[in-house]
Amino acid sequence: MALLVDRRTELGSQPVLHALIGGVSAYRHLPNGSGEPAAKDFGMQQLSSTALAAFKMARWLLDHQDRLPVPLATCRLLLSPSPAELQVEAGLAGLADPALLDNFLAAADAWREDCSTHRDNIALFYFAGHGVQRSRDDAVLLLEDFGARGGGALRNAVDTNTLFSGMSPSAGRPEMARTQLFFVDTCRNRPAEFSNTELMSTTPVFDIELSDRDDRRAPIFYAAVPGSLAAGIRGQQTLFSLALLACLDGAAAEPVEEEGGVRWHVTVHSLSEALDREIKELNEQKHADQDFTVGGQAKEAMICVLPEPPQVELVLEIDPLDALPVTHVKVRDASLKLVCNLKAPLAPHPFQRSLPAGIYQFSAQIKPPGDSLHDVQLLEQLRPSRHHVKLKVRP
Amino acid sequence: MSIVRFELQLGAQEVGWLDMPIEVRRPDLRLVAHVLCSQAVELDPGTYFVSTRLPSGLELSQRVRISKRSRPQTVTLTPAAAESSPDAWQAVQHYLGRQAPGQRYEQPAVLGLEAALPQLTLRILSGNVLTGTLQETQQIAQPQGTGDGTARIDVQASDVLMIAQLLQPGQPAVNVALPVGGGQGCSIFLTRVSNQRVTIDVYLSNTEADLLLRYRERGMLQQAIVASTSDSLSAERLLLLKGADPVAAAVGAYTLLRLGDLERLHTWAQNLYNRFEWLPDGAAILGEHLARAGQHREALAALLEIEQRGLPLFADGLSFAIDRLRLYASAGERYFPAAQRERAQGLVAELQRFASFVDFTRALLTWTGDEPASPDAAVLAADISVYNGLDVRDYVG
Repeated sequence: MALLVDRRTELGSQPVLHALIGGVSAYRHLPNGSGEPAAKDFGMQQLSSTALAAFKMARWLLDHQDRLPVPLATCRLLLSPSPAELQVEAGLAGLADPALLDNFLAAADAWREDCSTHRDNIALFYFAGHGVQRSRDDAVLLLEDFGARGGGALRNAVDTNTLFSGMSPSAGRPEMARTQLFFVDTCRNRPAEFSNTELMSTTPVFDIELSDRDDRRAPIFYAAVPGSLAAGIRGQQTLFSLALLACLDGAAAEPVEEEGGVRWHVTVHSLSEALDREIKELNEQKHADQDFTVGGQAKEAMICVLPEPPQVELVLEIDPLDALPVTHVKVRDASLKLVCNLKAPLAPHPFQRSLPAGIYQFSAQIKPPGDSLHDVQLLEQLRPSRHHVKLKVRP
Repeated sequence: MSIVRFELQLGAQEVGWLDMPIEVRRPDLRLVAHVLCSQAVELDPGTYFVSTRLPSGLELSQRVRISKRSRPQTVTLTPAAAESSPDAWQAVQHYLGRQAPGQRYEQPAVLGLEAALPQLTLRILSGNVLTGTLQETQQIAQPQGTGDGTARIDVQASDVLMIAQLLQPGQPAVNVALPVGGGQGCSIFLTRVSNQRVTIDVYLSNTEADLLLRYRERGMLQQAIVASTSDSLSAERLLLLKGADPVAAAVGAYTLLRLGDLERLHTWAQNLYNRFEWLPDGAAILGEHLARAGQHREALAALLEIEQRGLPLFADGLSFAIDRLRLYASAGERYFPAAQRERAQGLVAELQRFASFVDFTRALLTWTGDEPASPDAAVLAADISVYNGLDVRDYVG
């Protein structure tokens, strides 16, 4: 059941991508869960958008296989959805095994075996749910059965440190995938609420086998939200996943010269920069406090390629507002071809229009000329997904 | 072909010589060159788009036309007047700073402030929090600031570890490791972000290294790669020549580790560790470098030095140390003797006490607690006059 996609036989020994995706919203032993209440719940509550976020990540992979640098061979999916998510997305029911500890360990073991068959493979890991940040690169991931009686408080939790380290090339796994992408989409519960003993006592994902020379490209994109509540849209998806998928759909695309032309790639570095931008935009729209960090080994690698230039939502503003009645605007593309001829007054203001990403020239002309206003010309590289241009016509 | 040079004009001496990464693109966005401001490029006849992006998000650009008969030319990149720094002393923060989520200074008039900040105290402490030698220092320079929301306090170079502590009512005390040492000081900026809250940010006096740090903080890794190749950030200049700057060298080394560029680290990590025994980051960097090379016994030996050297100045250092030590503590007898694993476990527990209160979105180690050696998230009372330190309320406004 854990395997949503399995094309291993068909794809043979060529380099491929193997994904392991988990999402937990429904926690059995947290308040209002289906199981016996946890002896210590550390103040955590049920979540409402994390399983759906994981599902959407898996869906994106399946729907965009033609954009990946190597074919998608496997996608292992573990989901523990909330009732609200099941209402929104009926397809979640029965789609995947629940994200219980035993299921996670089995899926991780099989995923690692698959990833270690070719050094040009790509490994992708995504987890959304409750988490505890132990360091910049290490998070404790709480699984559906977290809080079950018996054993330590974090028995049904795993950590990204042993996961990351277990995925390194070693004597036993010399052909381990050298490109690995980790996305940890958890709310950041305060570790202070856990004792040091508890923080040391997660279940290791793998037995410890220290690495040989570790030359992986292996960034960890880590969502960081202060406090214990996930920044998500109830019954929809987390803000981080919203930003991530927007980036993969083009917001993080950058032009790369390829075969004499320009193609648009999403890479580790372009994603890192665009996530910062997209999350900032989402914070403003949703009045949220989402942030993220990049850990691991953020060497450059291609994540996906776009079939065409991404669209940019241009927001054009005249400053000051009292110059609106006399400010005419022309927008030209890189070849100086006129793409917008906007007569005064610009309406609506700010003016919005979707344009392909690229370099544009903006000219504001004051007609009739005024004493305190002057013509302005501006050159801008419009970057996805939203670009503000302010034409300041008063010095 | 024509030679094109670049010049950055930011209107303030402190940031005037920044060796910024410059992109040169064709109109169809094909990348022609990604170089440093100090480097010249040779361009074929045609039209080019030259741009640079600052960590603050500001982008400076120019169109350049090269004809067959073009002479060598210099492209000057400068911000529009409205985007320039309001004062020279704020330039570092203005161009290199970053607004964290929820941090947006609003003018007192916009906020409708009925009163100034109730109290605001800055303390500078020196010593090693791990070995219990921390004490308050009385040496705080006169702040710059006119009460318009931002104040700057410069801290002189020191050969001991230092911490800045910001105390304000109703907020946890915030501690920031100060990047001072090896003849280099730093600047503390206090910024009012709401009616009741002031944030603290610290900038290295080596603006090239600070630029690198800020690029990484903002996820601008491509810019960080190019910035890290600047001559002024070479291992030789930062570690071996007269006037070495080990803190900047640590920034460079962390960048190379994060970007997985182990070849360039070469002897960098070992030199940093050997030559600057007072710098905790030297141990964290060498430990991580050796671990990546598969030399785990040597890595553990280096990491255990943190017991004596103290908390790393940078969050990356603490993170690398905790993660490796935790792994080594759990590794079996075939890797490390029991005594070493016990030491590793003890040090992880000690470092985790701090990590639980660290803000890992910040590059410099930043944690909460009015007793820096006993971190917590306790909110300070309405009256903070029990604490010594400098009253900086009037400078921030």
